[in-house]
Amino acid sequence: MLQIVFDSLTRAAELSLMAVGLTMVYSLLRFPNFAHVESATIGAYAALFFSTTLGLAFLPAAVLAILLTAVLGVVFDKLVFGHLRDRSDIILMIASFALGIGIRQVFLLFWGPRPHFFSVGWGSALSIGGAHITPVQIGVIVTAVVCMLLFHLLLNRTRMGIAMRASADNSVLAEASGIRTERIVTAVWLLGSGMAGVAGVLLALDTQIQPNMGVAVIIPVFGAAIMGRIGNPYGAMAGALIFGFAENFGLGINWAPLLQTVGLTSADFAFIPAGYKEAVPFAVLIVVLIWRPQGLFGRVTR
Amino acid sequence: MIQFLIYLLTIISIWGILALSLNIQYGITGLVNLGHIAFFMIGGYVSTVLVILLGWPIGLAMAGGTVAAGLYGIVLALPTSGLQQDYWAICTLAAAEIVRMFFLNTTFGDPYTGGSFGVSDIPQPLHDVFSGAAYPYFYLVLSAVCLLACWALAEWITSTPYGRLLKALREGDEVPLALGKQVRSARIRAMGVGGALAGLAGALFVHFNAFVSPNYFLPIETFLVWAMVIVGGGGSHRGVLVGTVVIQTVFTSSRFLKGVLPVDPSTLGPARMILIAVLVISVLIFLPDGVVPERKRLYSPVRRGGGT
Amino acid sequence: MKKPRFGINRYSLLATVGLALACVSSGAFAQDTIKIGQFTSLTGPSAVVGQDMQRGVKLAADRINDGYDVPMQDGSTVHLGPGLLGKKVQVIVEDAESRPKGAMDAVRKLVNVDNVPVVLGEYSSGLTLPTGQFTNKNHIVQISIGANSPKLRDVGPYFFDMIGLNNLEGPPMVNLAMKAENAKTFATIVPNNPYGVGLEEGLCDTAENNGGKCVARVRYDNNQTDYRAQLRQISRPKPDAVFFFAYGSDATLLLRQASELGMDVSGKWFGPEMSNWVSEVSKNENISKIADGVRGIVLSVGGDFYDKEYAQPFEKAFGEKPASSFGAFGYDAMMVAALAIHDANSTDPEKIKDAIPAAAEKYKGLTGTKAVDKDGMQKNADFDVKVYRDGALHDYSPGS
Repeated sequence: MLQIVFDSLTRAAELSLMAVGLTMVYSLLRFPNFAHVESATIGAYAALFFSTTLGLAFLPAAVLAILLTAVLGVVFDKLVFGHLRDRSDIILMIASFALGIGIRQVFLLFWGPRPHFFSVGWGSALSIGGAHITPVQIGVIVTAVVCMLLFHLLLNRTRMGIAMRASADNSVLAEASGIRTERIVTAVWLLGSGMAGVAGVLLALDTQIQPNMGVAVIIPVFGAAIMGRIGNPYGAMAGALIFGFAENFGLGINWAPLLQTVGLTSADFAFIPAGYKEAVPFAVLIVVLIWRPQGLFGRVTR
Repeated sequence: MIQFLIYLLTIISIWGILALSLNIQYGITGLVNLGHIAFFMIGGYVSTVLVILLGWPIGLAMAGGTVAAGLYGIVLALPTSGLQQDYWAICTLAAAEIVRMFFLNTTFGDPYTGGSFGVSDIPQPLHDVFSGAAYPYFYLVLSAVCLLACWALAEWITSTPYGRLLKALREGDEVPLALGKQVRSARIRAMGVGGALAGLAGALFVHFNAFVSPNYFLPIETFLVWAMVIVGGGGSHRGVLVGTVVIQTVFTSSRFLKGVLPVDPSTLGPARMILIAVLVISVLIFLPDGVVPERKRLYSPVRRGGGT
Repeated sequence: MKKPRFGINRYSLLATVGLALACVSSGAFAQDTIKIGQFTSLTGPSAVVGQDMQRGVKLAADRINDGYDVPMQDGSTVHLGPGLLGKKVQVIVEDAESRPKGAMDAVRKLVNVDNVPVVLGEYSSGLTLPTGQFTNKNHIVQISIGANSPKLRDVGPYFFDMIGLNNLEGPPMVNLAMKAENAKTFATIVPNNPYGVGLEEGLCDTAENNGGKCVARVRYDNNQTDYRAQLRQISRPKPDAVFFFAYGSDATLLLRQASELGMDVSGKWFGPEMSNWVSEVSKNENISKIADGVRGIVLSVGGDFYDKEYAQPFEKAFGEKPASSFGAFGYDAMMVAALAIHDANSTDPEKIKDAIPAAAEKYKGLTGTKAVDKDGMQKNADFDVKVYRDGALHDYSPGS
């Protein structure tokens, strides 16, 4: 039971960093950015490059990688999305999808399809209350929480942050109030891509680096952002938690005692088949949206 | 070479129907369906199961697949048609993935039919009548005829008052609502009709391929259909057909580059995909209205010189 | 009409597309070559194994083009090359893109445009079945490099398989686990594809026939970033033995997370077809340590034949070790095809198909004996029991 909680929190931590950036960009620029998760992949590979090829120690390599990822986010905007500002969101969506494919192929081209690893992050698991958790997992959760806190402070205590929230909420009104949207756009790209880069480094530390690592989580990341209402970073965090727990609890619930009382089975364990692992959070998402069509944290706008 | 082109044209016909069906949902009605491939999947699988497990004649089974896909569209739309566009989009994607997982984990009959093994030896219609070299031509004609029928249907829908309502919905709910139109039921019907057409494409495909498995219906397939609609110019039926041709051609003709460039396959594979991605982005940036833009239709002559 | 941006309008785009189509008609490649077609996944999630197969085939083809003494089962060699029938061997590789539609397009091009007499196939039954039906109908030989669905038996006379169909691994694996750990309850964790599911069925059927029970059957999706939920499903029923199968890139993650969850990998985990993950796992010393002690079976090739003949030259040619055993299957497929062409002295698919059984029978494969039965499927497979230790496989017998 505790084990499920640990695993869920780790997963939620990794998802939340990506979902928060995604939701900000989504609401500000009004399109789902299917290349957003690739910023995580970029962060991971960049850190790998800096630490192995250039021989830096892990921490400076990771920091450099995250900065690079943040900047690249802005670069992609200038190269691709910037030219499509006045177009429909579907066009931007398709463009982002194509961009995502392109970015993945670059890593495939230069590093090949096989997984790579950092040389750090290998400790044996600690045993807490019968459940296992590795130092890396603890680090992932702590880092994510710290990032969320910093982000919260940014959003509420700085002028830039307040301007970002205003633009994300209602960009027309924000501009009318004198907030310069293009600057905000750049800031959001920097921040969102940077956070995704952090997620990538953490994910790589916890698991491994391979070209599809970003796209492997694209649907949970989107689901988390949307479940919590587009534009609401706290909603994205909540959505990430829900997804993390749904994935782990969904497969972890033992239905056998229940089924035994109805006489349907005599086995000791009956789980939802692992082949349906992704279906559980999807089902949760659909139910949540039918129940609250404006998202968990949305306001009814009728 | 000629057989390859026949194959290509058949695929373009089938995917053309798929693109048209998406256009009815998006280009006309503005519904962003990210799980469109589910209709394709249901049409194909239902037709297969009806033939293999229940012994239905193929034509009837294809019709069954079409209807099943349409029903799925309606069932999906009923509880969700009130959702805002972006939320609805992710719902459709989630639903499509659930359907795919169902087919991935379910076998039909013996443990090696269905599930991840897929279903093989799917009977082909009129296989005894046209055999050998003639069969591909027959299937191309069949697919092309279906495509033309669907195109005619789509154009007809667009020209009816219902069609105009759908187009108005694309621009936003407010005006139709203000005029008292039934917005939700219009959307549900668009999902049903669009879904049914996509189901027909699915049935055509599985009987052409004689094989089906869940891997044909990964989310990337939906995005390829979207690319066909957008590149061609969402809204214009002619446009999405051109878009289908362009996307399929780009994918196929890029395979021939290796004859021109002597590059290692490990490099060429990713390089080709990068090229395709760049091409799609370029088209989106440089051709604002798609390859064939929608013609704005005037419903009455403009009167000059004042007065209403 | 709106002025087109950047001066590019739809007509110039269509012209470009037309030009691309014109490239299509330039199907005239290098003349005097023997063309062998191969479709494999160079992009997408299956690229790890896909690239491995492409390289295995390339290694064989390059050797033939340089001239090579191909070893036979009876100890003799047959000299092939340089080239075949006096011409250079050219392997035309098409990307299956890890999706069935990509494989279909690939095979159609190989058969209908490049006019190859032989197609070397892929390891996914989902891609192999429909393409196999197509090549068979067109009387083109296809040799599958590792797909194993039982349905492949029925594809037709032009279709051959270099790997044994799925359930051959059941008895030796269950035997091993029962002897080594006195195991009565088992868990399986396999990828959710025909290969994995076939393994699972074979293993659990055998277990049940021998008085045991499968208490957990987990099928996971490839290429994911988190397997903890699946792993917990096998650990909770506390099985005596766990059968696990994974390709290199998933195996590393599975092993890592299993150990983090406190599972007894060294003591209780057994691997059918271990060679699929050995080299990826051995690359990272942390994961290698986790895998120390895992026992399992590999196809019997005897001594260090596989290493000297394939693994070391592979590493020299490509800079890294083979990622899975599928590259070796690809190598064997190419060699068998070449031997058949050599024996038949022709590139007529009819003659090649007739020559393959004899060629497969006498050839000494990297992956064991390649003899095929009347349906073109592998007759049998011999297995060696091994244990993974210190980055390599060593012989093992239960009770030692």
